[in-house]
Amino acid sequence: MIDESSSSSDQAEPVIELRDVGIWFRLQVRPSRSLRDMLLGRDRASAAQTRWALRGVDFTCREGETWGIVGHNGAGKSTLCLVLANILTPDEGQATVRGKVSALVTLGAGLNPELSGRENIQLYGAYLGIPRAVLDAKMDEIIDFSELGPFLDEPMRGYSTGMRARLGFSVATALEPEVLILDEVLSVGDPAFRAKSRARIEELMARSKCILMVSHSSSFLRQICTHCLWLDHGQVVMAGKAGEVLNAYDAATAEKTKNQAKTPR
Amino acid sequence: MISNLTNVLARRDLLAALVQTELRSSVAGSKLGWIWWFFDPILMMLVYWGIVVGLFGRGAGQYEPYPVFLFAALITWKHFATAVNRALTLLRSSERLIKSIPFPTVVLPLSIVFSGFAYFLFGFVILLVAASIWPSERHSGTLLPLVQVPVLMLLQLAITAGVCMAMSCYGALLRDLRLFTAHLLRVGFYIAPGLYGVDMIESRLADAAPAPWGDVLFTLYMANPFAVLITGYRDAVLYGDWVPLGWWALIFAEALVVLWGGYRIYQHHDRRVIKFL
Repeated sequence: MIDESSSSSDQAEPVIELRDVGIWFRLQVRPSRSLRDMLLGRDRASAAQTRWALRGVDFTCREGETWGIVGHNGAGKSTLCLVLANILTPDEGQATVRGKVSALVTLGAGLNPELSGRENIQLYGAYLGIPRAVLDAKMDEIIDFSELGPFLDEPMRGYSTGMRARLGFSVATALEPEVLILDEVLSVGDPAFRAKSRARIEELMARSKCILMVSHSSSFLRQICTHCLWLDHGQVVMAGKAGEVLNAYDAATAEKTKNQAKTPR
Repeated sequence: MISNLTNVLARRDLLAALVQTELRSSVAGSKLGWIWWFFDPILMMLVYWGIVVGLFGRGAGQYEPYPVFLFAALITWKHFATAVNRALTLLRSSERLIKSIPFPTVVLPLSIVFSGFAYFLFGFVILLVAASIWPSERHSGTLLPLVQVPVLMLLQLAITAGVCMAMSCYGALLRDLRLFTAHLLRVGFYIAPGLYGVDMIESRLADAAPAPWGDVLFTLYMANPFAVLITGYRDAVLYGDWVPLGWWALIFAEALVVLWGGYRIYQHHDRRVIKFL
């Protein structure tokens, strides 16, 4: 929830605070709850059918820090982003985020193919909670940035994937967030647009209170991040200064790759 | 964002944008555009009218003008049935959206209810026009009972919204529900009462059961809010009649319970259901 009371002078108050956060998911053995469970109002599934995507995650982020989140596929990175973006509520523990969060997770979800680009900008802006007046004031800037030009008043049906992503990115970054969450979205569009979006993100980073980004590229994270969080099987392996964590992570990854190479097929 | 009342009110511009989008995109691909909003219910009425009057030779006489009588039930039930049907698959089909932007997701079922209501209003205009072109012989002559119409519409909105909020959660948690409700909704139209008037039910029940029980059973039948709604629209528009006070009390209580219940159910499942999408 947005907590307006937090002021920038208050250094003691962390921007993000996760205490013993846990989230479970149902394994896809059965697609859905059984009728009996539902009629009886059973909410908790039996332990055998569930998997903890995150468990016992403690994590504090203060103003001015940039955190990288690393881990193998399925380590819980995206789930953590969903919790931080206030989309999922933890099943255990507590998550507090003080400040306006903007999460760039899946760009362009919710766009309507029957509507024009302009109408979609308004719709997407409404989803993101950008007030209409602000959106109207920023409209030219958004249109300009998206490079859609002549296609703007055409139905989105005819747009290419890159065009849709560009539109999504342009709207999503129109507002300056206090907390920015990036889940591997820096690869939108063609190389020229990628360079431009990289510049825009760096601009946003300079103005936001704190940033969290998921990436598989540790060289990229070394350049940008001050801190790093290493997740494995939903638990924190290591959290701290970016250099230390990434060194350990890279070493572990190299070890793993070596072992896999040794294993006979 | 949790789907509570405060957040929904704070994001009412999103709700408005969604309703607008829904209406715009429904006409976007078609040649006739919004003219379909008129044609669609009329064609549906012609189909039912053809079956009942043409095939079975029923309806004529007792409920004149029968096409108008039928039309009042069709548009009302269609609003409800379409909204419930769509609500059942709504959250699952919006998975990507729900998992990428934090917003009070309850605006999704609500937008379906409201955009469907816009079609219903179009239908209602046709109903009013048709009723003035082909007035019923039973019409009381006064137009004052039309003041009941907006109240009935609000009750219809409340009931449909309540049911849709609950059904969007249950539909996401239990996929089979959709197959089941498809049949239930079809039967619902005939029970509603779609093709006949409640007076027929009343007299049949009085014949079938001994003295006090016929009335009791009929009251139970009228506990179906759509029996009151459809009869209410017919009374107000076709016959210039008043809906009995007892029915008003019944449907008001039901609308409150359904709306509040649906809202509570949605709040309960709100964030939890996302994991199951």
